[in-house]
Amino acid sequence: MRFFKTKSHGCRNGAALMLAVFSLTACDGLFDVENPGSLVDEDLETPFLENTLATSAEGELVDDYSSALVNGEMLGDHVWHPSVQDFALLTDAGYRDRDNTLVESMFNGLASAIWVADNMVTRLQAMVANPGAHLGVANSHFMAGLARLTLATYYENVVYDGGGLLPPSRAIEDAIGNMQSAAQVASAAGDINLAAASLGAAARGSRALYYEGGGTNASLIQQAEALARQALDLAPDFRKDMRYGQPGASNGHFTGLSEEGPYHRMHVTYANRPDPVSGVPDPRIIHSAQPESTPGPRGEIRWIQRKYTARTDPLPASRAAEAELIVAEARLIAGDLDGAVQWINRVRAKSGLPDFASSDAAAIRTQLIYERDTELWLEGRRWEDHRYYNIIPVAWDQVNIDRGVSARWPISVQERFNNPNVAGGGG
Amino acid sequence: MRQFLSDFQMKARRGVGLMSIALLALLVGAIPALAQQGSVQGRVVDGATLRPLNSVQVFVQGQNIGVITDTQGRFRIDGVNAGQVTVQAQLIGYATGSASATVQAGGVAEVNFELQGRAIDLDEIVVTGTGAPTQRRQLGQTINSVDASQLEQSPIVNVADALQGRVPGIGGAAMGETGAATRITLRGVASLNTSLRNEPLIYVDGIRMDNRTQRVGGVAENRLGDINPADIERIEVIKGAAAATLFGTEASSGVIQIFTKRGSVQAPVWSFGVDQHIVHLPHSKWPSQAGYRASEGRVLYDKPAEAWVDLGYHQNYTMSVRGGSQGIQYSLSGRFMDEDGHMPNHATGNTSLRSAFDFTHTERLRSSVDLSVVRNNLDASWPSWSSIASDFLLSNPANANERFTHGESEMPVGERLTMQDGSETTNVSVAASLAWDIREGMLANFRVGHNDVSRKRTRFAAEGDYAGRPGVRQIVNTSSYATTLDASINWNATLTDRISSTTTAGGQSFWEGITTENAQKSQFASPTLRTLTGASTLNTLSESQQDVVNAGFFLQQQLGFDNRFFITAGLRIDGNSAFGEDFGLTTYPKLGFSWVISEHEFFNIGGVDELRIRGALGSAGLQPGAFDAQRTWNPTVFAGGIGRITPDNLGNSELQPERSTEGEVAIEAGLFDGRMGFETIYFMQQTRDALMSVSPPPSTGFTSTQLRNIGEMDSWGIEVVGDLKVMDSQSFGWDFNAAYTFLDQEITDMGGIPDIRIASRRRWGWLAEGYRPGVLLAPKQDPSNPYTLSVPVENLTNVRQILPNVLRDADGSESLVFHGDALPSWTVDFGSNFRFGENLTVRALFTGAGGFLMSNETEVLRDVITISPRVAEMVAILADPNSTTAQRQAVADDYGSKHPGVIPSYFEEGDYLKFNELSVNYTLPETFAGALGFGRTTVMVGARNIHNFTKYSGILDPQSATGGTSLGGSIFESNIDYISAPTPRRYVFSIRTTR
Repeated sequence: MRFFKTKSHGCRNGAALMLAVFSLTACDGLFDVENPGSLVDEDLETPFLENTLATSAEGELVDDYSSALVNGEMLGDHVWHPSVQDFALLTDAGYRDRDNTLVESMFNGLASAIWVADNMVTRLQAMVANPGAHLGVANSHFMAGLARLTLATYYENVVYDGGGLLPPSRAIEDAIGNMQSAAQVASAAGDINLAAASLGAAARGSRALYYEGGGTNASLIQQAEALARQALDLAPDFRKDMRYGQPGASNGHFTGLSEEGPYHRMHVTYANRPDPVSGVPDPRIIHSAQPESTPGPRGEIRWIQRKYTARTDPLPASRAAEAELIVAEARLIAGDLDGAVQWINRVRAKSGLPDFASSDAAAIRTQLIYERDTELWLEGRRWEDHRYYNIIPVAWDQVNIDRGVSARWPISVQERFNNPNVAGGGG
Repeated sequence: MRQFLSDFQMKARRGVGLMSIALLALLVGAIPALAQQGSVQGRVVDGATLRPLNSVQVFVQGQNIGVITDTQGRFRIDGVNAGQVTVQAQLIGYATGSASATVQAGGVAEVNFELQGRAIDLDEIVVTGTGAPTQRRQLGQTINSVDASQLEQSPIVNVADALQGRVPGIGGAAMGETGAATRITLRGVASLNTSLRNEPLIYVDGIRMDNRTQRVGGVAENRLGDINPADIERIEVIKGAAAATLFGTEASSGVIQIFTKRGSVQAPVWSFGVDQHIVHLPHSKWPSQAGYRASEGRVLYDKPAEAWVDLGYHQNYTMSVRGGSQGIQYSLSGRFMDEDGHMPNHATGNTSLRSAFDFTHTERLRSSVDLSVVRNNLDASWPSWSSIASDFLLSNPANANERFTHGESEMPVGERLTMQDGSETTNVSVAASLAWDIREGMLANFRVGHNDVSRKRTRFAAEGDYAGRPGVRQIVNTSSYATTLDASINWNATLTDRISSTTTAGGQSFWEGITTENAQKSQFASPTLRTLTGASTLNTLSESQQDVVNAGFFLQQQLGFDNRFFITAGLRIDGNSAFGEDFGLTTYPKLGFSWVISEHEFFNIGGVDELRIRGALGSAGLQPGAFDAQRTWNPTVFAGGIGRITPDNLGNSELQPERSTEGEVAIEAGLFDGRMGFETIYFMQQTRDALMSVSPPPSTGFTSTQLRNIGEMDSWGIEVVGDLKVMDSQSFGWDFNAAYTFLDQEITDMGGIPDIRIASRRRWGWLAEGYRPGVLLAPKQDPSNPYTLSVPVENLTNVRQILPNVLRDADGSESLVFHGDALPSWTVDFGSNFRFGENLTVRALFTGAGGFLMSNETEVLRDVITISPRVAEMVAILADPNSTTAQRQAVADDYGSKHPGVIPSYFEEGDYLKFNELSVNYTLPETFAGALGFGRTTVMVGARNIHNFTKYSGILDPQSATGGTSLGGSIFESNIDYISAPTPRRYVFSIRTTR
């Protein structure tokens, strides 16, 4: 209303008119406009947003975690790639195909999720009265760690906040730190399940470090065992799911708008897969009773997974069975064969499977790999197991085999070209 | 302060309303006839042929009163202050006539004019970008003008049609859908940013008009289409930064200002117009489809378009009355237009009313109030015409079944037609102005205007949509506004008897904004329900708001020497809400000169009547998007009502406008007693601080692009315009005009970021350093070895066994090869007018452009799915076991040399020359028209878009590809012909009469 006041009181002549307009250009605030559809940085400091900030890290990560998980399952032969209608996804796709948006966007999403999770921790710590015992802080720490672990699993390098290239092992170390912080804060806040899940994920990180280092540093697998045991001591059946997705979207990769999503076709070798001990189909592999009536383009028989049947089905991020199998693995590496078998059977018992028995280290290792493959089926662990156990997935073509199971994708073009701290970056 | 704008906006609207009422109230105070007055009357004729001249502005100098001549060239001005007066007569194309007369109180002085034709009109008054009304002779910059007399005799439908072929170098033409808008470009693209407005600003009588492009189905519409061509008195076009400096930020793509017809001091003149068009899309525009032969019982789609494309019908009725007395002049006009489209489901309509009142309150104070209300509707197919077209262009008989009777690609056409999209728009403009002669030579102007556009878009699919949702309805309400506040003061002074001075200072503020509400629901309880309430599933519900404030002031000083040499310097200073917090005001300087050499005594070149050299240098800007500078977070509510925020826009606190600086020099000459004129313009433009979308490193959290002022682009070009009066006698006249423009643009700096690939993955337009914007850098089939067979040729049974070979780099990746450019580098326009006697004229207009490539993606798709006759024939040969090896080899050579797996193999030259307009105008003899009770009555028979001379084989009109609105994508993708709508031909019949 400022202008019209100026006019009605002051416009005696043309010069006054001019002055009115001139004063408009100078007056403070004239160029302020509302942006009611978005929040700006200062809005984020409002205590009103505490609960929103507390869930934002998980919300930021969940879709890319789901995407990474399903891609890991493709690389690891659990599911059939939907567009090439084949079991193979080129591990070197990022190098050769400039249009590989999937490899690109997954890196971008995970790298961004690390930043958001760290940022939410910082914001909440500044905002809440008791950051050392705040579930939002704990959850954000957990997501920061999970994002780092996931990025380190698939990519050659990790980058934080526009910094330089870091090796995956560095990200894993940092993730373990995130998870330990999460456990500490969750514990203080009284969420024992989250505390246990954080320690379980930290155990996953230590196991990864052990294998990334060539399997020579026994202290790392011992550390993994210790963390896993701590987790199981806190909560024997802990389970942390990713769930804060868009309605129904968190699990949109396995299940689509209808019951069947883009990645619902499973690898044929898992159909009715017999448990090596009992000889009957393993109940942990849940799939359609019959294969699809139409075979694949090369006559492949195609089955539909039923582990996830709805888009709202949560994706497990860390759960007790994995920790138990880590303990079993650490026991095996330590030469405690009985201990290893005992921990394997603890997992099998929960699914009503008969005990496995062996005193042969190689046979126990084979069974352990089977247990991880089956128990953690479609949970995103298969690809790293291929790498750590040096198993070439059965359906891989020669191009992949030539690159080997240690292959990782390059960081995204967007990061490479726009980050001045990365070689080749434009900045 | 956050509430400031919304408060202001609301109050501004109210304020504008109040101001209008206040000014209307001033009507009462308009001056009655003053004492000691007389009249001037007379006649204006062409000096060469003595033909009476219609629509000549005749006015009494210094008294601000004037009239327009009637069809007999007669005029009468009442209320002239008694004494010695100077009367002037002006008409475009003629030298201004000037005569003295002595007016006695209560007497009538007789003044007659014989105007001499001029190839260049140095005395024409122009307004746009000049600070104050200025004679053309004083200006260094280029201003193109188009006046009503050209438009009234031409088969045009809208403003964009009015500019095509009449303004040299203009780019863009509408796509072929009913009601489609045109995206206009002037002197190429000013900005490299694909998301910002790369179009000129539109002003109507000094008030900015909202002209954003919005969609109905696949049809782009904008508000330029709302303007009734019969209301247009004149259009002024300024093309670049040198001329647009005084418009400041936002004006780097040029400015188009439309002046509407106003009343004059005379008895009421009624005008009526009736236009009837037949809109026809020749079936030959559509490609044939293989496999649909009568013998197979599939005749329907043999020429697929015949089943679905038909004649359209356009009717337009206009009426106006203009006149006035000394105190009040008025103009009232109305229009009703309706077009039943040439495509199913497509239609448009327009009803408009416009009023303009000019008041003379005292000798020194005048005011005006304008009001315009337009109601426009546009109906189209949902999701687009292209979807329907793809259903018949890409249908494959091999896939036919009970529902898809012709093997349509996605949805049977009949079902598709049950999905409709439509918009209803109310466009209201109100403006008021005051002009005050503070003292001799000093004039203050104040103008306030408001344009408010309310649009309701409704989509409805009673039987379900392509996504399989049963019954869908969507309503999108948008409300946009543009408020203009403008004040200026202009002071003309005579410094010495040889030197004159004009000082102009002023300020402008603009408030622009848009709010959107969008709701979509599906699953209707009953097919008879047609409101959102009747649907059960909510798919979309959203709201958005965006406002921009710009304010600035300008100062301009001009010095004139002997009325033949002028220099001008000016400065504009702007602030804008879209600038970054750390960026303050911006300044745009300008300089200009004009030298009318031919008016020096020493000038004596045979045959040259007028010679002028002029030049201008100036800057203008382009603002970023409303919130591009802000760092924002996007809030979302997720399952269970849990909120989360996600990084949205990284923002840039240093964001500033993109700056274009343009310099131009021109030489103009009038030759052989006004028989010939030509003008040559050379211009160069530098775009600096170009706004480029830069991707931040994702590890910094924000993944969406950030606008940064880092790019640079250089442009240069020439414009050559000529006209020639071949013959001009009482019985026959023939004139010819032509214009050629050339434009070169190059991105000289990408600010260190990698080349940007525009649009999606199978398209190949780039923003790349060292090239024109939109350059086509793409894979190329190896000319020496274009294909490989996956089986020995004798075993070739399927075209899929023919694989393309592309050129590759040393590392094995596909080479990106320069193919050509996406936008034209040259344009040509020419036209000719023939006059037979007094009453019959024939006008023809051609437009053309070239130097760009079209991407015929429609044909790529048809070849891929083997329904084009070419490939279908190959498929048949390969499938036939009796085909010989030589036949198979021939197929391999043919298919392999232009392989649909490599889209760039389908790039084609887009050069075209279009026979754009033809019209025959016949003015009924006055005795005959008079007997019917009418004044001047003209009948026009004409056609538009008559024929395209082009080698391009696709369905898209290449003219639409010169910056048109295809795809809804950026201007750099205009050349992509992907199931496009060809431009229809239009047959026009019109009658205009006055009384």
